[in-house]
Amino acid sequence: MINRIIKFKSVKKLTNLGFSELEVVVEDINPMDGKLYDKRMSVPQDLNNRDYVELKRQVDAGELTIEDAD
Amino acid sequence: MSRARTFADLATASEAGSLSKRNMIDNGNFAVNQKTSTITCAANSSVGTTLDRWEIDSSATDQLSVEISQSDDVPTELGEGFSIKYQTKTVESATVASDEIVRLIHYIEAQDCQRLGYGTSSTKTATLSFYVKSSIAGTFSFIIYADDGADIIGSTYTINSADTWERKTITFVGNNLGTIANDTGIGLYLQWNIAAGSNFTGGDNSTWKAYAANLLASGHTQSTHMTVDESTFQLAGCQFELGEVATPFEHINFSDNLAKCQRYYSKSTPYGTAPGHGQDGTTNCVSIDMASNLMRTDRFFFPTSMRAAPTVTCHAQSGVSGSGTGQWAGYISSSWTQFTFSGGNVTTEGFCGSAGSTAGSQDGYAYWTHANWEANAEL
Repeated sequence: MINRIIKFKSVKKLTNLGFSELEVVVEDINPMDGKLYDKRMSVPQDLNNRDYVELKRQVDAGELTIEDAD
Repeated sequence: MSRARTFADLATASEAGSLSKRNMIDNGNFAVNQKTSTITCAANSSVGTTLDRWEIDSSATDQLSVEISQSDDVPTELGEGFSIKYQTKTVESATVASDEIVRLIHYIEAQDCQRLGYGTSSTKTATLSFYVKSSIAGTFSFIIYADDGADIIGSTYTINSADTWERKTITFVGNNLGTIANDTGIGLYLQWNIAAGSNFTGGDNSTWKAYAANLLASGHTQSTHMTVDESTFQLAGCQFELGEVATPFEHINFSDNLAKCQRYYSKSTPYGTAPGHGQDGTTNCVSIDMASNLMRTDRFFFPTSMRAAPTVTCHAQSGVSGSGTGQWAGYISSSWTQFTFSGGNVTTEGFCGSAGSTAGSQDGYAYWTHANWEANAEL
């Protein structure tokens, strides 16, 4: 099947907060005004999470890099 | 449909083992719409949750922009619920390219597909029924994709008249090519193709086969929704059930419907209020500055166990400079301030929040904070 389209702008570890989740920024459309904005999300490193699965695929393919925590 | 026919069909469904809760599609009447707002899907993008449990995907498109909304326009004979409405808002500038496809997708969780017996000697026939209304008539396509084995089957159907509700039923034989693991992953894709380029239309998917791109929309010939501005496509009363006949649409309580959907998506704002910043006071909590600018909240619990540990998005209170996703507002040093907040320790049951930089806060102090969240564990 065709892969879902998720365009990650950045991915960063949250180990500075004591979390194993990843902070992910994606470009999204605000339904209120139709404008693009940066949506920041916390993604668990869980292979049942669809965002993590796609993120991992892009990292493994060398298309995306996970940044270290602040 | 006559009463005798209805009773006969229900008897058949009962023999197939599914008189009650026979519809395998969640939110098949499109009544649950937790996001509330009309959803915009830009060219070459997907939106995983539009109306609950329904995804829009616009793949390889260049200019196409579409809106997905909840409509109260439903077939009279259905008698209740809503429809999901697709509408083209910006068209493709050229004819439909070979690699472009636009589709509405519903995913069924794998453990809920076990009744189908796919990949076993007792694989079962199932029947799809739905109402469709389109501003453009023609031949459209539908496919079922079994994710674990990458198997696919499909069918075309004809919309005879524009802007008219029509009921369609399609029966699919059981799949004996591959099993579906009994887990929380994707079991089946149910996919209504709205428009499809030639890469996807040339094959023959009338029997179960190993996936190939030309089986994704076999026989689909009407693809002008991509090129006709304001064109529409609506679905209502979608049902997928065991057996060889389509029984009347199964009506369920809104509360049951909502609870099923919250396994895949939930939010902190009240039902009927869109998620996002600007919903002051709907999620208040106390946050503690534990040490060295490490702020923590108590744990938030989801309304039901989610399918998987969800992706968490935090939203701030409105009216505070810089309000945006991933930011919460806290009352620190006698004024409201904005700080970046993240969800952590996320499980299927809940999460807690944390911020690493909260200027002005003091170790050991508690602060009043405003925030909202969304949790997405969609398939």
